[in-house]
Amino acid sequence: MALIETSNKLAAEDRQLWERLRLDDEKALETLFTRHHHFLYDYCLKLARSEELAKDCIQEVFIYIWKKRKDIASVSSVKAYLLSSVRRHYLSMLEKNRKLKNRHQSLATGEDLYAFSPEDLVVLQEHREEKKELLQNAMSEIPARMREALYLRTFDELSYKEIAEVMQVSPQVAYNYVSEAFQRLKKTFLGKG
Amino acid sequence: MTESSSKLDTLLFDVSFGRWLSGTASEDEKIRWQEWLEADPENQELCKEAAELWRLGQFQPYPKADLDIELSNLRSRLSQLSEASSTARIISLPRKYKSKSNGTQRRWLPRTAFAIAVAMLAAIVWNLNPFGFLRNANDATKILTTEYGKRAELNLPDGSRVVLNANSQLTYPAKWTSKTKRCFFLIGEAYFDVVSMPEDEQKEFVVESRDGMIKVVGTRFAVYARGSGTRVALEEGLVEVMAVDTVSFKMNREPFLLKPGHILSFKQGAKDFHPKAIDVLPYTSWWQNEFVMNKTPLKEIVKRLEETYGVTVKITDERLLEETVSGSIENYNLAVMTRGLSAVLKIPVRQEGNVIIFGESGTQEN
Repeated sequence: MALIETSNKLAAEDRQLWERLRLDDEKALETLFTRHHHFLYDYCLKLARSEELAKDCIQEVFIYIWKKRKDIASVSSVKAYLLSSVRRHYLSMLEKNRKLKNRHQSLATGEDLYAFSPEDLVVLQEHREEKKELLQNAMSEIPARMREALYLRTFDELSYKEIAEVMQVSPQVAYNYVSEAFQRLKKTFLGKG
Repeated sequence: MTESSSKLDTLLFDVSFGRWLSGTASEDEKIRWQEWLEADPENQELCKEAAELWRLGQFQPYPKADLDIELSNLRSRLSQLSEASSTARIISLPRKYKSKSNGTQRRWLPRTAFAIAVAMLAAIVWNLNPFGFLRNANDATKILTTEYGKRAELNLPDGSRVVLNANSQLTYPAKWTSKTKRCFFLIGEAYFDVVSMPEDEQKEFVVESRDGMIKVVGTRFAVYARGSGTRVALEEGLVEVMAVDTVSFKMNREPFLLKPGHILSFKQGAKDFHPKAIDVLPYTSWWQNEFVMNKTPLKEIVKRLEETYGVTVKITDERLLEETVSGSIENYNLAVMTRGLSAVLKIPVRQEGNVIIFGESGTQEN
């Protein structure tokens, strides 16, 4: 079985852009911004559920990268680096805003701001109520971190090593997260386990 | 079973396989996976399972953000970095009411009076700022002014942000260097989100009003300085407050340390400070598109509407002014706010020219 990790063309281009940006090429930064904004925005929205916050977060990360371009290293996966930066930045903002956030949440219309809720899964958009419920139950039984890892695998198409980098866990833990999430789906829908 | 299970796992973790399922694989990859599929019936079985699990594990994408806007925001922030100058952005708060009369009757101060007021204040500021940047003639300043129904956002090169509410004026340094003190003079109302700096390059961030000054280190707060007195509402962090002496125009008192979650109102020459520990959101939420009220007296909301949109608000039943309102309403424009209020108070609202009237129509007719 030919499971060779093909070096992806996009990832290679990303690395070139990254090197150019380290050499003061502002255009390269903008190109990376354009190429990755959608993925970063979606990820941050699933974490934060606030469009303004997500947009802000991405802006901050790119500004930070530009400021530190002289000090930053080469990276093997630009996408993973960006996703992980956005995540870290979001968590630090969250910590900073914690008090205000709690206050807002209690004032909000009872909407749960839980990150990576099972409702984010596409299949839930299906009409078959039975299937929806099955999926919802299966996915609400696993922790949000596993759903997040699954998202990074299927939506961002990251390898488990990259997922580990983004979520700041060991590769083994990242692997287990995704594997467990798939196992859950398999048990629920394919009757195996 | 365990063997096929681990094969399935291997497949689901293969990035090239993932790309193939998502349709983002290269031509080479597609050919390779097609060949793999045809090589063994077991592979087809595996592939079917994997594809189904992959499909079940898909997440619903959110609508994309407007990339043009985001990119232009990034560009403007990048240019701020290189020029080290701040940028101001004016945000409109549309007045959606159609004016019945011809010609809008805004409650503008006569232009000359306004100019004189500014000149007077500038003169006072010149004398009273022991720490202020205005004293140093080399430091040029800029003035940001907002009309009724407009809000402006000022982004500083260090990442700090000031949101200037409608009908307000902010004086700030024109150029930002590593030595520039972050110093502002405010008439009106503004919200400050200050980035704290590491100790070694810590720079003062000072907001002054005609009543005194507020010195901060990394914090979020709103200052209200209209008419008599200045009010500080501190969301987070710590600020020092000093009142200005009415005779010497110097900040001559020991600074008062205001704690988060407190509101402090003071006037020029204040000797004692009496902060109140109350919900600060009704005082700090206006800069977002949501206005929070927590047992807020109606008369305060009326005052805010008048100051922000330049309208006159009349309430037929004046006893209502003492009533308090809790909850939050959208703060996008005058119409949305007044309609929200009308719903909360269960009183109809209408507009005649520049006057907003809460109350049954007819009771006020001549």
